[in-house]
Amino acid sequence: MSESNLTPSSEESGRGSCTEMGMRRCRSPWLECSTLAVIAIGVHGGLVLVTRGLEPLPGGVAPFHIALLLGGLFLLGLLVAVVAVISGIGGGVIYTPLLLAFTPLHSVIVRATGLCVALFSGIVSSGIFLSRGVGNLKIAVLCNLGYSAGGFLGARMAIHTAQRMGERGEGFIRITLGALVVLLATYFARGGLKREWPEVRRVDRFTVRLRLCHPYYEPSLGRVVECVVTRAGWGLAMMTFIGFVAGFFGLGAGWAIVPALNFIMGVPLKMAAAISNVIIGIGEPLTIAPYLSEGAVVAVLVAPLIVGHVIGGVLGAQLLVHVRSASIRIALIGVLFYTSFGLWINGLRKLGVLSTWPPWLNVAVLMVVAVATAVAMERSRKERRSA
Amino acid sequence: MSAPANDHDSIPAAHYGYGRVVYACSFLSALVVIVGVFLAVAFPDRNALDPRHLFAALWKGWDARQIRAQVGAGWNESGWSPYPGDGLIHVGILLGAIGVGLALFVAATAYLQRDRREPLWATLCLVSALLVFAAVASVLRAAA
Repeated sequence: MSESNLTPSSEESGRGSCTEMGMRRCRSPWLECSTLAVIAIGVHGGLVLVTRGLEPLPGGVAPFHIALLLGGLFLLGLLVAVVAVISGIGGGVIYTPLLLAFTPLHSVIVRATGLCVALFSGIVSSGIFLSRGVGNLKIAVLCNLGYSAGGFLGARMAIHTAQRMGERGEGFIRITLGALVVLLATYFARGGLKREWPEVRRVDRFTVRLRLCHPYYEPSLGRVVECVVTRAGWGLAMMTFIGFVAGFFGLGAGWAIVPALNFIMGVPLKMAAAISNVIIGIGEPLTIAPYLSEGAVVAVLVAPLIVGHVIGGVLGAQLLVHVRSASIRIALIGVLFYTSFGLWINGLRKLGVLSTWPPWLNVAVLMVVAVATAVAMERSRKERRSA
Repeated sequence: MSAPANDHDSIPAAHYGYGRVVYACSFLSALVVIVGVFLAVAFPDRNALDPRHLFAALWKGWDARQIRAQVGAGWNESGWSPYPGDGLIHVGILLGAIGVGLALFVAATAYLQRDRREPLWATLCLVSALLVFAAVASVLRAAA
């Protein structure tokens, strides 16, 4: 759900079919979502109670603290999934940089965690999109061939680099990712490259032969539209590169797939967003496999994030119509800018360039980013009002 | 985008089948994962990686191999845990991946329906499904 620039409207995600509020809550996706949420809250609450008062082993962490940490991760997963859906900025793009910037966790473990989150957010949302008629499985399957190949190579390369370069590699990955996150935040701040209904003037022979498109019902227009796409070969090549970046850095790649589909292949924006989730859902198992085989997927760390994402992804789609996404989007862009700063500082420390960094400077940078974010939110609010 | 058609076209069977299977599997695997979390923390001795030592090791910035060597009592050389706690979480994650493979098989079958036969897309769905299953198998083989 979260790895997209667009999310299904309330009607598409199941709200429109029920008129009564009570009836609605007893049907999909509310039923399974609330059941899972109750179980998850029960499990995390139960763990806090069960582990209370248990002594830690020598050199270990107290079980009570672990239970609190996992409960916190579940809530973080839920929150990030909801916010990611509403803002249209992917969840994987938020986790990996955040964990690499502000925790001492090993980068391969963090990247594996980011990809697991991206996988589940991709499959839960692609389920919603495709079963409601938004998206195109043919385009997704075609692009997936490039994406999964690139993702597998990127993951292998990430593990190889980490093993060869050691601590220097840890610094290098943080600094490179910091630069990438700044570029992404700037791209999101500028509104991103998008054309809602791209005009396709010429379709190449390869794309024609593939017969990729079929008419689909577009709820916002209230009618069936016939889409035309082009340059399937270029799209496939681009997906290989995007998959490589996603696999190497452990990011979900909705931020890159959507503009690639939209600009290169001429896929309508909403459909591109849906297809990107399907591509991530199909391609990510192959990308994660090297990390899983390496033992880099730390089960207990990943699990609460996955559950939070499955529930939050569905919840975010339902909440989408009730909240102002612009303010949340700006706040998240602020988070990304601050995260990139954290990545650089952490990276420079790992490289041995920076030995000490006074904590007050961290607070000062955080304040600057917070003020800039508040100003941007206020400006956006004024623009909305004047419009 | 060309002119819209007149009629409300139904959702392609491949889309519907894929969507339903993958959605159900994502919830099922989340359910397995959450049970695994409970077992992993409530019975920390019954994990390949005891969470009490695992989180201390993670916070030291150790990589996966170091963690396996130092924390993983009874852990084999692979990344797969044979224990009920973290092992069940791994099963949940793989279940999500297997769900994608199954959904692609369903989509491939739908593309072979008699009235709208599209062998190219059925083949590509099968190839994608096989890639997903190969990924799952590689993880399982590493664990064996």
